[in-house]
Amino acid sequence: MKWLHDLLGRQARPPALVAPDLSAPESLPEPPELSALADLERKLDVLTRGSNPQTKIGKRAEAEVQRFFGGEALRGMQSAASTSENGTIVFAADRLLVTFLGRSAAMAITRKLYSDPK
Amino acid sequence: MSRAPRNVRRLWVSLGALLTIGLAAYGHFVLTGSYDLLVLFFRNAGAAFFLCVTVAAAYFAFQVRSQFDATEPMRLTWTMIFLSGCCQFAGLACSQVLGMDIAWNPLVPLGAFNAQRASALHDIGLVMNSPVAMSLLAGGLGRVLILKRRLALVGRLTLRDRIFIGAVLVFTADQLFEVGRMLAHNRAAVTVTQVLLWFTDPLLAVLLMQAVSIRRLVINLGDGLVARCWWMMAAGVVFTSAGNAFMWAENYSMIPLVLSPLGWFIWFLPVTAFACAPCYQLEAVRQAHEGSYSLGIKKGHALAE
Repeated sequence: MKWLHDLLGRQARPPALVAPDLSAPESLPEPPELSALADLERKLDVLTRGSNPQTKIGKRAEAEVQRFFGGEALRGMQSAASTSENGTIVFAADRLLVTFLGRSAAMAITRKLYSDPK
Repeated sequence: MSRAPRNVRRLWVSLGALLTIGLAAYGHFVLTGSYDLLVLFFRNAGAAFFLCVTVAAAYFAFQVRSQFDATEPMRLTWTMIFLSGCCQFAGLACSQVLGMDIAWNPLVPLGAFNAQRASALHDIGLVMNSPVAMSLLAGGLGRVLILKRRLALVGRLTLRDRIFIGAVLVFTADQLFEVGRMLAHNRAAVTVTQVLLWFTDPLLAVLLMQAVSIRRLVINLGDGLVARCWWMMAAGVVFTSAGNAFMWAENYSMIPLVLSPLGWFIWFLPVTAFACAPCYQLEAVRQAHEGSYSLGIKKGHALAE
């Protein structure tokens, strides 16, 4: 019965503010002082840079940006990101999503990207 | 290009149906010279459409507003757009229903309808619907542009944009000159309503400049759902200006009498565009939550589809 209890508990659990990390599914919750926005920015930064294990997720993040803001916005960010050393333009993608869709929707996108990286 | 959200399709289909009926009434006017059918159309089907669509616009804007936390800057933007929608609705309710001697005006069966009250309600409606609603909308759009500038997103205006803005400013200056002439001629005849309505043209000029900036920005962004939301807002402002310009041309007898009723139809376009804009934003939010286990955290995600 424990497995059933665990399963039901997982279903009923309110959504976390922080997207689950696939490499460490049972990782401890983030410290509360870390703001949700900063966390989202950090994760999207990793995604959009397309770092090696997460290239597929990065592509999907790009698709999300294109869906919500358009192809030109994505191309602008891609070209700027490729020339930018510190990735300041990459942050624009996170900020766009958070600013214009709201924190809740932006986090939902992040969660989707992490939870289903097919 | 993805399919438009269901509510957007519904709104444009309703507008199409309304315009079909309206153009039939216009055809009757052209053939017979009688305004009867046209007046019947605008006082009933037209007024009902205005009320339903503006209330829908306010409701959708409220739904979008509720997607943002109190600390997020876009919440205030959408609050202003929501309040603008409420003012539009209240203004249209006063000017198109309560101030009119029509069967479905609730004041008529109650015996509370009289010409003086109707005139006052009509004036209140015009002020609510034009300068008050426009100032709130201008506040909302202004905040969007500030936010986009902070994100380094504002597109550079082209020469054609600047010429257009210049023309708008010249038109506004001309209108203000007319106001000055009227004041110099007969100051005693000026009413409070007139004074308040004088703010309409300058506000419309501000809105048009914002619309041009938003249009340029949207062109630079591409065809995304959020971009389309602001594209619709800009389209609403442009349609409002077109209606205003038509009225101005009509006042100076530039429009032949037979074409004059066509200008009345223009006003259906901005209300529909303003109602469609938040639908795109709601669709974007719905798609953001789609497939995520956060679906249904906030009410109203299913609304856009």
